[in-house]
Parts: sequence; structure tokens; C-alpha cells
Amino acid sequence: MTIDDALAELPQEPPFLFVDKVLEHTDLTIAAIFSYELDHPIVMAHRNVGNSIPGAVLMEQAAQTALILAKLYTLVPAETPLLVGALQGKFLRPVFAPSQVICRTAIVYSRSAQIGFKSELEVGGEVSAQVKGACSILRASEAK
Amino acid sequence: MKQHVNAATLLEKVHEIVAEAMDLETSEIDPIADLFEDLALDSIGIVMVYVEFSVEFGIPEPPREADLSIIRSVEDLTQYVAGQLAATGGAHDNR
Repeated sequence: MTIDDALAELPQEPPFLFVDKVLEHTDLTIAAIFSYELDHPIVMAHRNVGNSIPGAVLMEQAAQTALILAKLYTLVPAETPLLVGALQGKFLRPVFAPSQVICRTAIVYSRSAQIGFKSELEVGGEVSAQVKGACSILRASEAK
Repeated sequence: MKQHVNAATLLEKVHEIVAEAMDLETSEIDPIADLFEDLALDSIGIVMVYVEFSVEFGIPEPPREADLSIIRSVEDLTQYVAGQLAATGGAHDNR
């Protein structure tokens, strides 16, 4: 599967897609970048907080990079959505738009139905957030 | 003596990680109890435990061929971590 294929399989679309480009990847690690611009709807809706990027959005960015990696290396079946089961974030520095945020994710657990990952999100070479998460495959019986 | 202390420390740390994942106090988790049958740890919860092992101890993803279903308790998890640390030369990722 190519990077473009993996990106095309993501269920998210703008403005809830937080991956612009995959910078590098191995079978267990990935680095992807997203630019939070001032005219991004979420930034605009958060302008009264100094255009800061919500931590929940950074965690979503991490989860999406994990999903791309899982797709790239066929850790999950094709066209299978993943549901986030647990996410933990530690926010070391605020992130303000406009910013390019690089998310470096490593998959540290994968079995047929679950993925576990850890991520660091960087701005300007400094780690702004650390995220840990676990995802499970959405089974057909659970889909509406 | 040092090895005994390290083993105890490892058990304590693993115990804390599991308790954190289950939103319980360590006193509520018997180290030999079956986490799934006795304490209702779910599949997502155990994944987060393994994620935390990677963060805390720097150990790699569990081998694909490993039968993780036999790892049922805090003691089992501690033995697993100890084995992984020994296999990786004791790599320890201090945050």
C-alpha cells in the first residue's frame, strides 16, 4: 500500500483531517506533518483563546498518524475503521496557529484487533505534547 | 541484594502502571489476581498497559508469536517486562 492509498483510506476529511503529508516511515514508526493555519475552522473557533490548538485536536492528530501507519503496513485489514478506545495526552507547551506540527508516532502494540501507540508532537523542534493511545477495529456488528 | 531490590521495584512499578490503567489503587489489585476475570480489565486497558511499558521501560512491541493470553496478573506482567528487559540488554527509557 502506498502513502496515498493509506491517506485515501482514512475516514476523516477536512477540517477534521490533521495530516498533510507523511515525512518518513518504517514498519513501526511514522512522522507526519500538519499545518494549523489561522483560517482553519477549529483555530477560528478557538480564536478567543489566542488561536491555541486544543489538546484534544493534537491527540486526534496523533491517532490519525497511528492509523496511517497501521494501514501502510497492513496491521489492520483494508477499509477497516479503527475506533479510539483510550487516549492520554500530556501537554508540555501550548501550540498556537499558525504552526506546523510534526507528529512522530510509534506503534508499540499490534494484534489483529488492537493497536497501541505513543506519539510526540513537535513544533520548531521542541516537543509540545506526548500522546499515548489504544485503538480497536470497528467490527461490522458495531457499525450503524 | 541489589537484584532483589530491583525485582521488587519492578513489581511495584508494574503494579502502579496497571492500577493507573484500571483507575484503581494498587491496594485494590492483588498481584496474583486474574486482571481480566477477577477485576474486569478490558482489551483496551491491557493495550494501554503495554503502551505504558514501552514508554516507561523502552521495551519493544510484544513479539507477534508471543501468546499474551497466558499473561493474566500483575506478577505475570512483571515477569514479562523482566524478560523483555533482559532480552534487550536492560534498555530503560526514563522519561
